[in-house]
Amino acid sequence: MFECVTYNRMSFDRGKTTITLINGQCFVWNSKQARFLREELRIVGTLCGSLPRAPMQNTHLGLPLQLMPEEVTLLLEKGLAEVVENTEDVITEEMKLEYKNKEKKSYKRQVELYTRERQEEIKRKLPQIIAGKKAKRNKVLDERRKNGEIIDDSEFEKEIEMTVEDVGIPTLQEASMLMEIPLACDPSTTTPVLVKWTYPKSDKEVLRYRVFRDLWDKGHYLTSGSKFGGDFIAYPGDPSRFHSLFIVVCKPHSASISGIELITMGRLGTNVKKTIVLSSVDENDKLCYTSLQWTGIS
Amino acid sequence: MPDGSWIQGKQIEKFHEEREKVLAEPRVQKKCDYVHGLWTNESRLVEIEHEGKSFWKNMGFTRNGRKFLHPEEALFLMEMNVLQVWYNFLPMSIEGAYCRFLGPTLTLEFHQVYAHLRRMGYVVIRHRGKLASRYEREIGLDKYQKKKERQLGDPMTSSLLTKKNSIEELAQMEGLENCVTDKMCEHEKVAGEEIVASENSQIKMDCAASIEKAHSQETEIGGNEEMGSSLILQSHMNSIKDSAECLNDNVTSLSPVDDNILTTFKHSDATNSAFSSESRNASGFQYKSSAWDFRKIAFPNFGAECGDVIKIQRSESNLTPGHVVCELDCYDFNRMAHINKKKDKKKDLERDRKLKFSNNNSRFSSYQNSRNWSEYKVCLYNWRSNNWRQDQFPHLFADGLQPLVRPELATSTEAILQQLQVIKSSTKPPRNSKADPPAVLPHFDVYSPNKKFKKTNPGTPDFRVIVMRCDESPPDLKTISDIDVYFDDDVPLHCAVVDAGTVMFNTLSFFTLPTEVSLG
Repeated sequence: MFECVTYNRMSFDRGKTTITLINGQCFVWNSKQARFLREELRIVGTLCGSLPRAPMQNTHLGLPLQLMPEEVTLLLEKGLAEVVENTEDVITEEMKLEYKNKEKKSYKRQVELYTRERQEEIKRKLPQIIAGKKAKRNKVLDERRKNGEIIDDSEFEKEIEMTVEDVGIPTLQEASMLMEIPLACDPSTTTPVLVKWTYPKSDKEVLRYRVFRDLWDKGHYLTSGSKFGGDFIAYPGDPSRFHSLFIVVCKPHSASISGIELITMGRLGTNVKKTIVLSSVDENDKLCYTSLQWTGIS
Repeated sequence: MPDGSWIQGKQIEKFHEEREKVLAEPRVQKKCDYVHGLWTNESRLVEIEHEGKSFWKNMGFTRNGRKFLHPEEALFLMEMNVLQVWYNFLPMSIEGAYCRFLGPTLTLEFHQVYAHLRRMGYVVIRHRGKLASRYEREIGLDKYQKKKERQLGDPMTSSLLTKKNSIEELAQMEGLENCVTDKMCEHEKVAGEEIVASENSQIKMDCAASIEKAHSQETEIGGNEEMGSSLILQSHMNSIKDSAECLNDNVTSLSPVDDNILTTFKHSDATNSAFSSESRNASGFQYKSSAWDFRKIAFPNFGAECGDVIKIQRSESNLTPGHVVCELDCYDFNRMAHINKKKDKKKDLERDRKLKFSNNNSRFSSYQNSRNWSEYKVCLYNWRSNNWRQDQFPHLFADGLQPLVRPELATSTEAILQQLQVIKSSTKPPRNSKADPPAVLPHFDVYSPNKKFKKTNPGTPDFRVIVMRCDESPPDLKTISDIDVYFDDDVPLHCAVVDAGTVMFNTLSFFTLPTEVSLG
């Protein structure tokens, strides 16, 4: 009944996903784009908003989709997305008027739809309505009869003629009009501006991105690894259907790992039934992976 | 597991289709059911005219008669489809709200932790500092929000970035308390039963009566500087913060009193009346000084002078009635210390249960926990006459080299083990009401959903939360210890680690390892 508005980014029609940079973090605000990223591009991200149909729970969250900086860099490198920042347009009287007109239009449309729906309902229930009216009339006649009046039996059998138009439909108040809190910004009042994306910068970030890119190229689905104490979690397929197999830990090639650290990682991997993959970039600028397995010799 | 089969592909496709549909659902509501809010960039707050149906009990605050919501609260309510925020005469979308609300006063991590906890149902408030000291909680004073704090304006309005300021504010408030308690301490040390004035106190002569009461009560209670401090704090707040003209360099000197003044313990009423009249003071009324000079009225002191002072040894503390906890080796009972203490039912039940089922009681089954002090004296006499005493083995205790375990203290295996501990295990850092606020304060006070929750007087939180990012290092042990000492309550501290949208909670708490008793 309510025609909701989803602002579809124009850039998506050009084939690029729009990523909004807000306060240093990247978000995607469109469900179609979010699906495309995950289904076609293997970019998972994390949903971090409330779900409109079930807001008071934390297991299933809704848009916006928050992307890792590595994911954004990858998309930019492949030319599949653009990073924008929303700048506020100066609000003119025109815009305010336009909004009011929009609201009025929506109200009219809602009244139309409402009346139409009610009419259909009445049409469907017309026999029941007539039966109800008949029963009511007969009850009244019964009362009168009890009071002593002499009423012919034929009065009870009289049919009631009614059409759909005869049944009254209450008007839809303006205050009861349905309104929406839109998810994404209204393109008529905000202008997205392309921004320069400068990730990765530090050595650590560069290493992380190299590892991410390489694993992604190999076909894995990667998500943030903080839940398991690593840098990334690698899934063989869509995270909704498969368990992850690897916990990826990025280490500089020449960094030393203490015995305690090895044990920590080994134990962690065993307890969650995943393999710890130590990833680094060697002297020949090639990625090398070492998997860690905790074995007991007893 | 992925086998590239057609059926698997179809399942995944179906999943994505449904997901897209669910994610694209709009947030629709009747126009009259939306709460109308206005965002202002300068204050970075959302103002509302009418409260909603249910959220106002737990969220928002009033300032100057106007109702406001913090940005994270407003953003949460928008996602819940309850609030519609307008800016420049146009309604805001959620993306727009993210763009405008997130900034120096509200980081994304802060909001995500807030929303996470709220979605679980908790009542989450920005941290408001130390609301009540331990003693105030014990005597039940924490139920009464300090009037001055309410007048000063909500401490909740302190923003995130100005955390420094909020610490300063708190330090100011606590600092007053501290400087007064310092003086109290000094005076206590100097004269046990003398009431010495706090010099340099900028307290008007008008307030002398209430201060006298506070002083006298404070020495009576023998060691509880906090009580005096809370009263003094209120009077300080009233006199100092209200107006400059209250600052008077009158030094109230109170002569030492021979008999201790035992005032009736309607101190809360008395102080309230004193403060109500002092608050009138702010607008310039004259405070009528009390007609009575309490220094000259001699009240008998039932506690200290009756000559029946019992020294309870630690080993005999098992027989004491009710709430007496003997932590020191030698406990000079002072009845005054226990009057008016709020009974903590849960802790009492726990303690009673422990006593009931502990092994200790097997020894004392014939003596039974006494119900009052006269019974206790009888029990004590029986116990002492029937047990090992030090004078039965004089040769052992004659030299410098003595046994670690003293026979009379060998009441249970646990007690013996404790005696045998040469290196004492470290306990929690000593509680200190005068502690400075720690360098890092928690960000949220979280309460379980509760019908009786009041925003103006929320009470002790169920737990506190510090928000941090994955790449930051957690608060170090010293900070955690400082926080524990500063708040001086058993409220656990949780550390919420936020990384790319996922929130994980970790509890940081002190605990002591229990002594393992396998025999006896």
